[in-house]
Amino acid sequence: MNMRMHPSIFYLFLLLLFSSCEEDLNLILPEGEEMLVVEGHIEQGTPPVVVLTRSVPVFSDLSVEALEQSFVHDAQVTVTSNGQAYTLQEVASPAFSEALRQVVSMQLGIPVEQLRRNSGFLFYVYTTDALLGEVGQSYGLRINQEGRLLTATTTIPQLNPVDSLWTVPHPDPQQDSLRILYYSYTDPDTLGNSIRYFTKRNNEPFFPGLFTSVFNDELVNGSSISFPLDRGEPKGQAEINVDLYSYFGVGDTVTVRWAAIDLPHYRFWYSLENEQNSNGSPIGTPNITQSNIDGGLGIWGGYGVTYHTIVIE
Amino acid sequence: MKSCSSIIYKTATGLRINSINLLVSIMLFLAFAPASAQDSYRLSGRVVDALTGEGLAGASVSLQERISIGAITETDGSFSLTAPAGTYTVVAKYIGYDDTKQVLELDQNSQVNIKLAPTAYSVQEVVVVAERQQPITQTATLGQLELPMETIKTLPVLFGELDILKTIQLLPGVQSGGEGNTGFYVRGGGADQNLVLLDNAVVYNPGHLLNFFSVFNSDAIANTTLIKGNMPARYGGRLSSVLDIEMREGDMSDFSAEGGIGLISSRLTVQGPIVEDKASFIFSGRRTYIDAILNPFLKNTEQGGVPFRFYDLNGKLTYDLSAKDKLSLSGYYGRDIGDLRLSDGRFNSEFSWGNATATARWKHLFNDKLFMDVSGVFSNYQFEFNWDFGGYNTVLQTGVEDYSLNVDFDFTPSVRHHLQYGVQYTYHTLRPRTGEAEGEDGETFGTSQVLPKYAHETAFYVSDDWNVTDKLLVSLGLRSSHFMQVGPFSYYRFNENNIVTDSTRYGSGEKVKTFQALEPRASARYKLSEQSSVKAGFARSAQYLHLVSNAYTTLPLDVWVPSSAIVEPQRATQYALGYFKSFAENQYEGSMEVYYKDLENQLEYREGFAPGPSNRDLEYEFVSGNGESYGVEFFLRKNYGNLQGWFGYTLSKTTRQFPDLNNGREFPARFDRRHDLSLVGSYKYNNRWTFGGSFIFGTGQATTLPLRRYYLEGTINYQYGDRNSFRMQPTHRLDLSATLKGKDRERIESSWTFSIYNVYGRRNPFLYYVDNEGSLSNQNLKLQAKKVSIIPFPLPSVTWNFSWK
Repeated sequence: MNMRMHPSIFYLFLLLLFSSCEEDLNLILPEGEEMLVVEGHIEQGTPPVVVLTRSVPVFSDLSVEALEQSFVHDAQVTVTSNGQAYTLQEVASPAFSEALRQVVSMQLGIPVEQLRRNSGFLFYVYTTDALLGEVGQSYGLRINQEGRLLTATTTIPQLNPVDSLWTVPHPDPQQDSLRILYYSYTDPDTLGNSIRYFTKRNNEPFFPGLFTSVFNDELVNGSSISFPLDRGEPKGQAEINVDLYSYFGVGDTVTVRWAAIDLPHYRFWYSLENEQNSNGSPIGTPNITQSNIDGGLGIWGGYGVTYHTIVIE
Repeated sequence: MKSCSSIIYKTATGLRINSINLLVSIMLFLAFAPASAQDSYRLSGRVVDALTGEGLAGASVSLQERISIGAITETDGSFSLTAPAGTYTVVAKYIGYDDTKQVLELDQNSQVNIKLAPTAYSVQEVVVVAERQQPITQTATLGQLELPMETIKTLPVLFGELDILKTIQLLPGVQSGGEGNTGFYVRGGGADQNLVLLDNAVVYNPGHLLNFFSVFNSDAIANTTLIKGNMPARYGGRLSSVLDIEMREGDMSDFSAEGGIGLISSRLTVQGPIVEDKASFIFSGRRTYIDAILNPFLKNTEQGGVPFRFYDLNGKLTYDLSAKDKLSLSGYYGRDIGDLRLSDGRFNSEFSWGNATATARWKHLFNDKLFMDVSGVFSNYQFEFNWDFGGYNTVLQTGVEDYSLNVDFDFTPSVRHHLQYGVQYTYHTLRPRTGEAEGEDGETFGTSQVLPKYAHETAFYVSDDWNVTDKLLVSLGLRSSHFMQVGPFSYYRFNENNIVTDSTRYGSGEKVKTFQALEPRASARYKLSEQSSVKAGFARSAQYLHLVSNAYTTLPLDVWVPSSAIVEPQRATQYALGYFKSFAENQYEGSMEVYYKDLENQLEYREGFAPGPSNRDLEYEFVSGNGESYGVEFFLRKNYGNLQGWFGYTLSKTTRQFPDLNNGREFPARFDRRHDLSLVGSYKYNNRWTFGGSFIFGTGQATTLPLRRYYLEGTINYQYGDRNSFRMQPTHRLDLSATLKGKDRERIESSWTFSIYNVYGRRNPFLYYVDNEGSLSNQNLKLQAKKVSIIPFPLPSVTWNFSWK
């Protein structure tokens, strides 16, 4: 698992060797073809949650109103499990139950406050109370909207928890308030086990790993490994504080959300993160995110989640 | 004729080229029929420097009375030509030397040694681009250009570093790999489709520092020849071009040294006799000190900088065993080296990459008609990146290693025929990108299923340049190439979860897969007059080694893979037609060529492929499809006088079509460039000052841009438009240089070269992207299209060069 991130550091270094320059451009781009985008998850003990939006022209309005208009309403959304189909109903955020609010916030990275009635912000999901995720189950997703058909399948894999968490001091003794978080993990003896992780400090929300949030056992199948775990951070920051990146502070209560995912789900995040990390880099390797949605974009992904908490000392 | 055949036979028995001989014999028989009535004699000899005795490679020897008969000297200065009996004026010409003429009676096979005296100016300062080649109207080859080092030396260059790869990008039909980049793309071909040879050794990665500099130290290079596609049968293994680079030979009579001190590197070359007039040496070295210059850009590292450097070493030993035998041993070794430690000390790494080549060569003149060139060649490319992080030491590596043996014959049975034939064999070891991590307790993880691949590549070829009439020259060639992947090898089949479902194991040396191809090559020249000709050409070619890159530039980590049980060879067919004219007594030469190229089984990464650790061969991530390129190229060159230079313009279109990319629709290739123009000149103002300049203009590069966007986890993601469907702004740039020759001193000559790259600070686009910042939850989203330029400002440089005798 540890072999994946460092070629990018290598490229970062090579990039630095030549001081390139950037300038703003006014591009006139064709509108492209509208596609439906799925952001849907199911984890053990929670209902399926599917957000259905449409892609919009890249330089179109970024306002909250425009976002609200990108939600796709009145689609027929069904999830099939064990041969039984469950129809998902569209629910707007003011009508969310507290439990649903927590699930949506956790799974989609939206702060809970923005999902409350008075946030001035409308968010729509398709969900059902009739189905709760179970470990080891497969879930088919089928979406019909004005003649468009989207299908996908995912599983909630068997749980693959972390064995233990611990910290080691910052290598610079002067930085005595910072700690590196380590995890140890024993991979089951079957190939294809994959993990997506998130971390949470104190009362902050969970954030996935910033550059890399997914691991796969292709090279470590069946082994026990211990390795540093970078702190999750919100995406879209103008600048990353390199002195603090990856470290946790002494006194923090840290919770790790450790989610077993299946291989197509892993490939989605892996290719998406590669695309984001490459964007704008002269030595990047651009690629197109590998969606598991047939007929659309986005992800239908199951999470088999365990939580692990440590107080940093 | 029979005796020739038996010599060939004896020499070649061990190499099992009997079948070639049979072919040759048949062709000879056919060839002799019409020509046998006339008595012809062989004139052979050597053209040497009158002062040093060093053979002059590429000098032209011609007969004034018979303009169609001529020869170009070999590396050691030797030449031979055949002419009907008669009295002739033999004219020898070489760049930077005074022409000589001598009259002789050719009534038997004769030998003549021609001494040329350097012109009053030193070679380095010569601005005369003398004809090393025969005039372009004379040869049958299409799309072949030779660049004498002297031409290259007067042109402006980035950081003052002379670079032949950047100079060839100024020729029509050759597209550059981007700003400041040495990568090149010929007539719509991929970056891996250029055969780059250094003294017969394949150079697998000709770039330093992400291709900003080529590995070819200009002081160590004698000649560079570029062939754009209609390559003679003796070249093979790549589809698009041959760049054949020859290293210099040491001076046989005097010791000398030369070198230069530049902004980012210094060079030193020493040469001299080992045994006077018998044996010589030359060694060249180059080393950069860019680490010192670039450190200010690298704040975030432990040392406050990155000790990155690269160097090149070239050497050649030459030994004239006899008048008929010449031995040489040459080699190259170069490395890019650096280490990187992040400031918090958690990440320490070292990396290096580079090529090593060695060529042992025996040239033998059997008699005045038959010449043999035997070479044993070693070539290696190795990339290694090694880091410590989180308690693991990890090594990432990839590379190629070749052992080759070439036996080439050059046979001129009559005035009308010039045959070349031979056999070439290479044993390839291709090390894919592998990684292995070792923990503190000695436990290891790695790419255990990714293993080296082994292959034998063999080719037989024969070609004949046949002067059918004085006006019609036909060049016919056939190359038969064979490629065999051998074990040890395990052919894995995987399910969708990358789990091995089945595997076939092959033992060491066991045949896994074979491919072969017959590659006919044909071209013809018809002289319309002494000053103009038309040429036509056809070539089929096959390529068995592949390098696929999905980055904006090829990277040192990119992997060469062989044709195998997983990947088929690439193939190409090219048709070309050209009109060539020289005027004003050969002062100017011009050409117009049209070409059409059909490419089969081209390779790209599958859609959605993101590089990363994998326990599967990279070849499983490839998809294949076809390509097409066609265009017209105009070229006008002024060869003599104080003002020299050329103008090149290409109008072309290059597309690719893959069932699994872009929804199966045709798309422009990444280096499809509708218009590509270059204007290159040098002007000798007086004996001390020479000025040079180049201007380029090219249609914007094709790129893929996001057309739509959507949110995931509150951040922006993109939906891309059709592959390469968008054009960036056109590229144009002016570079200027001035060379000041130092005052004449007895033993030391020196010069200063000042140059400015990108004189008017054009911000040429390297890539476009749409930047996004902020997140939905913070309601601070911003989107902005950006243009990234690599060297967007005028970049001056100065270099001091010297030579000592």
